[in-house]
Amino acid sequence: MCFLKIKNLSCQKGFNLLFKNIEFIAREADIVQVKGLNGKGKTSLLRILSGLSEPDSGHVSFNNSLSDSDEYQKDILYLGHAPSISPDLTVIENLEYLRSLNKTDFNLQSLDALKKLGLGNFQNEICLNLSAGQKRRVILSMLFLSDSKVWLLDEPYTALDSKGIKLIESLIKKHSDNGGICFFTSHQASSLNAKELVL
Amino acid sequence: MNIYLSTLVRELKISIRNPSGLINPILFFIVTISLFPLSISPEAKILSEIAPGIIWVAAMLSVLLSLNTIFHYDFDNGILEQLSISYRSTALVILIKSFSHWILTGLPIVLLSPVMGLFLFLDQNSIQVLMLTLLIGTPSLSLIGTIGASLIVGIRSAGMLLALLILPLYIPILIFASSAISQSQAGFEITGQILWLIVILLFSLMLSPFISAAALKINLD
Repeated sequence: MCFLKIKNLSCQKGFNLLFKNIEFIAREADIVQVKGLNGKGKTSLLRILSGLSEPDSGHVSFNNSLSDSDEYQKDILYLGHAPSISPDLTVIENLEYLRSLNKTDFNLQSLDALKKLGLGNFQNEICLNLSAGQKRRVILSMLFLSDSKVWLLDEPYTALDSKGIKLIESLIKKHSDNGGICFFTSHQASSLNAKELVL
Repeated sequence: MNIYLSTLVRELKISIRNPSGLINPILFFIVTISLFPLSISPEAKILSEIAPGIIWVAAMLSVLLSLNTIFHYDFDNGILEQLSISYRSTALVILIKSFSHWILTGLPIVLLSPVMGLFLFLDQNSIQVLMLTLLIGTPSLSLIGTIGASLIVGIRSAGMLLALLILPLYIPILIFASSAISQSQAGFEITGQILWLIVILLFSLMLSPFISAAALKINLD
């Protein structure tokens, strides 16, 4: 039974206290939608969960390993606001590099993931020539390949069309059915049966 | 593919597809050196005396010119974020990035240096010493430069700041390298200087990746 535990978490940016003393436990198969108005610290929370930022107080642990340990980072897949792809590399080159940085299922081929996201014909295209939605799809194809237990998705629906949104929702659902945990932020209403974490 | 090998291949691919970053420092190296005979004197005696200093200063500045590119684009694109939270060793990936920076700037300078040496009337023995000092010295320039690049990565147009941070650390390399060449021109033993250059290289190999990884972590927070 895996669980992600947020204990007494506070974060301050400049003079603004974004959130204070958050306590939360996400258990196996939980989908958590982080909600809050603009500037309330949704992205900051996900960055702390990913291990990128240090909280001002409190800590995060997954199965008792703390967020700055290697064991923790093996279980985390974080897709943030930044595109995470180099414009000078092709779609497949970018995806392969992202794969080598994360823990992924070696039985799956990168090309199959791209095909499922409708980028099958674009594998050798330089990413500079892609549209915003297509660039988003390149990193979202990591969701097919990832072997990580915890997904942290910051605004995963940005720039996606309605078909793309449905596809990502079904992926999150499948991840949860397999016992994974997913945190995501979104202002859109979601058809997922998600727990809410309101900031 | 192994992450370290794929980082190397990735860096080389990006710079080949973006050749201006690759060519600029090398052109700078050639152009700067070729201005000295025009402005000082075309006489062989004078030029061969100042050649070691000129070539080394030009090499140092052209390396400095290219440091910004090590992390800048990866920072903007969010690749460094992914690297930092990956369970792979950030320091080792950074070491590979320094190595590819050396392949793209340091190595061409080493290979061009005999031509530039001939241009400034260096004798054959001194050219060999020049190449040896550059071969040992330029990797240190890349490694120490990586520290500077990781410190300024979040700052816009920080070229001058980078120079202020890094040039003082380059000065020992410059002194040992150019004195090795002048000493050899005068017929003296140069083992001491070469050993010092090797010591600096070993120290920067050991320390630079870890310092850069820590600096990047702070900048990404």
